[in-house]
Amino acid sequence: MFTRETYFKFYFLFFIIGNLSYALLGLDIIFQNYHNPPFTLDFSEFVHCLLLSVFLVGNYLFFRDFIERREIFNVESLFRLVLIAGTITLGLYYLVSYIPDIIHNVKRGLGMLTHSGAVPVNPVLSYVVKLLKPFIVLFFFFTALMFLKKLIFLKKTKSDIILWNIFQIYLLIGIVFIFFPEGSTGLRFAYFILGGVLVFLISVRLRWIGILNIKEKGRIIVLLGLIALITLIQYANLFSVVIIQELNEFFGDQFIASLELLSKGLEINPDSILIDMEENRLIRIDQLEFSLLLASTVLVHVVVSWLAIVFNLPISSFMQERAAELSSFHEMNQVIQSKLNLERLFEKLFRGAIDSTKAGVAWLEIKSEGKTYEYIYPPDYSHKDQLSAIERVIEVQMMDPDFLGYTSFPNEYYVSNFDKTPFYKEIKTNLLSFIYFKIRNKDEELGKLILLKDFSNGFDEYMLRVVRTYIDQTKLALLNYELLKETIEAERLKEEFEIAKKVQQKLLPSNIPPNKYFDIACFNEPALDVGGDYYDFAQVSQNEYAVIIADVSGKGTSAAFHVAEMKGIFQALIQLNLSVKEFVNQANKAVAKCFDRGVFVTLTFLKIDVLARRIIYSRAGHCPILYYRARNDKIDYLQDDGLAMGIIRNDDYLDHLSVREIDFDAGDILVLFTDGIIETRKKDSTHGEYGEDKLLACVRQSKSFTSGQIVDSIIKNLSEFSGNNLSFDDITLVVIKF
Amino acid sequence: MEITKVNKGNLLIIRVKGDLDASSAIYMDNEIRAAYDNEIYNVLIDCCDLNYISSAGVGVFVSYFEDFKNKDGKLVFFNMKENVYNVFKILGLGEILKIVNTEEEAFGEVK
Repeated sequence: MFTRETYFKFYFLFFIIGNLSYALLGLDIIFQNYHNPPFTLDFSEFVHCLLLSVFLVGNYLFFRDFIERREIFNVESLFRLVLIAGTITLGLYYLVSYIPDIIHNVKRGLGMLTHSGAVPVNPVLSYVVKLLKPFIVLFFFFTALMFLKKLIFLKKTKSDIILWNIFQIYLLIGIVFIFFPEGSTGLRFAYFILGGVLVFLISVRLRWIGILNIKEKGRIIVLLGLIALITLIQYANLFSVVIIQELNEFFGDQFIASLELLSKGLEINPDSILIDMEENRLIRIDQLEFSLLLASTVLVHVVVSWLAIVFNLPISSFMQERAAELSSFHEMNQVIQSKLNLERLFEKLFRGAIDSTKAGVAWLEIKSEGKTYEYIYPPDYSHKDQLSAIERVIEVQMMDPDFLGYTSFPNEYYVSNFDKTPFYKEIKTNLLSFIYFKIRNKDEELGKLILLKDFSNGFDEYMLRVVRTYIDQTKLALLNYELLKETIEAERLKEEFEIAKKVQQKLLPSNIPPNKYFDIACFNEPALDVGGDYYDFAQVSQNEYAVIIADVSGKGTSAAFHVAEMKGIFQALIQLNLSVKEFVNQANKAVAKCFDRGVFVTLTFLKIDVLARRIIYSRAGHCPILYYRARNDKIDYLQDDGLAMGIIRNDDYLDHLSVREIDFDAGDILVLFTDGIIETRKKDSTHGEYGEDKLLACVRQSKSFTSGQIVDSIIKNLSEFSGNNLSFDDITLVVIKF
Repeated sequence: MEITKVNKGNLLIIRVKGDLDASSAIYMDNEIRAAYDNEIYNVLIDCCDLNYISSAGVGVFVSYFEDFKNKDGKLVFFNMKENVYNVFKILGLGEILKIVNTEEEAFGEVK
């Protein structure tokens, strides 16, 4: 199994084998041309071709993997690396080229020359130089190609991968051509044409340009320009002889003549160039299809990329501005999500409007929550009076629909040539074009924004659109802020309701301890969080117990407050141990004092004397008591007169009050309730109440249960009837079983 | 809830249609208040189309009945439906508010 380590070393092997082959090849060539070689290798032509192929393929594979492993984090650093590689290889190239001359000068300096000053060039050295030069250049092209591949594969698609693989196969075909040096020029020609197409296709994979910002593009233009220059020089160096050959064929003898002239002028030995032309074909790397394809790809790609960025610059500044606007809009919304800072919001509006229109002067006035915010640009603008004057002109003009200056949107006013309007002479200003936005939210006027420039026709439709969007975003943000405030308030109220509910629950007894004469069970559920039902219980003397059930008219919070008042009245009056009649009368007086007109209380008040086994009660407008008599197994509603409290607010009330006494036996059941039970409706229906009959039937069925069980069975019966519908009214139930 | 009124001299006939509950009670309140302010102290209320009354609705009548009584006037109800009548009956209002069966009887009450 290949681990990363073994894989890596594998490729290093390619490097070594490849370059050893080249060294061997070089040695063989040198020995062939040397007078007294230490030994001969005498490779056949096939072996020469093989060694060359191994050299090319081995280096290709090494560079491919070596550079593949380099983590390049951005495009700029990639180009820097290519530039460094190019500079180093170029430097080495010239160093190697001029080594013979350097040695020559050193020898001259050391006085090792003959009189003529000419020294036979050491053939070994010149061959070594000739072998090294293309070697160094090829190294650059290998490096550059593999770095460019990384570039091309940024944001790669499947077709990119397919194209690259075709390219590599094509290079391999080029290797095959090495073995067939002569002939098949037609095939070679086709190879070059198709190769050209391939090179072109690869060179237009320029998606990586899109991810750069303006500053990066600026720096890369410089880098890439230098790289292009170096690549061009290296290309020329590699193929100089080929180029000269082609030119020679094209121009004929004139070319050689002008070459002699040129070289005389430059003091270059023309023979060295001509000698090169007839060199041993075997080291003519520059004539290989492989090299041509490789180097051409790099050169074309570098040049095309450079041109693309240069031509791309104006577009990218536009794109960058749009991107900045979008992120500015997004930021405006973010300002709301966190704590709203109105100033930040308005500043963003102001800045955004100025930046996207490049206005020279701007004025924003906007009010929110009673406070007015004003912004001026430039901050030290000294002609605010001109702005006010312009504003007045606009305000007047906006009321005249015929006057020019309206855009396609209401609340907007655009003047492109202020100096051509009749108002110009009155206001001495250099501001020649401006747009005016009235900022409104529904019917409320929030403020205004004016953007001005000191030249005419300074604004276009696109700018208007962007500012409109900024203003809309601001209005949206303000709306969000309002909604957020309301939500927070609603949450707070909800919490208050929860507290109120808990407080009210404390007012109503949840459990009444049983005694040996009777036990009491109760149930209470308000329609809303809090309700208007009240019940209570107290032991007034050794043998007497008082029970009260009451219903304040209305529901909700106001009714709940009244319940608290009722409790106060009950708790106070119960201390006095009054008769039932007097209790109710006093209660009525107290209610009349505490409650508003139109608020009344229904009440049933009972005193249970356990020694006399007697109940004394008064029904003041409340639902009648449901009584089951064990003695004769009969169950009925006790019908009594009695006016609700709070209607007649003086002692005349006594005339409308009645008291009754009944005896009780063990097994008797007394049910007190509020009208919420009776009026419970069936789910999804406006007709059909639970009604007194159903209640009676339910109690009759449960006559042998304990009071607690009777309560449960009534509530269950009620729930089944209503389909677990939330009751429309408050529900209270008190069951006493003797 | 709809209210229609007929003025007959110093007498007002209010005809109420629909449900008289917490949301519609305010309109009834306005009518009765208006009558009182215009010194009309006898108000007949036709309940033939009154389907439902809540404690808020009752509260409106309750809050004015003493004022009208002090001016020797009356609030008279007629043509009441059974369920509405039950509400008044349980509250004991039959003793203090006049509830009759027909319009003629109602007129009789205020002569």
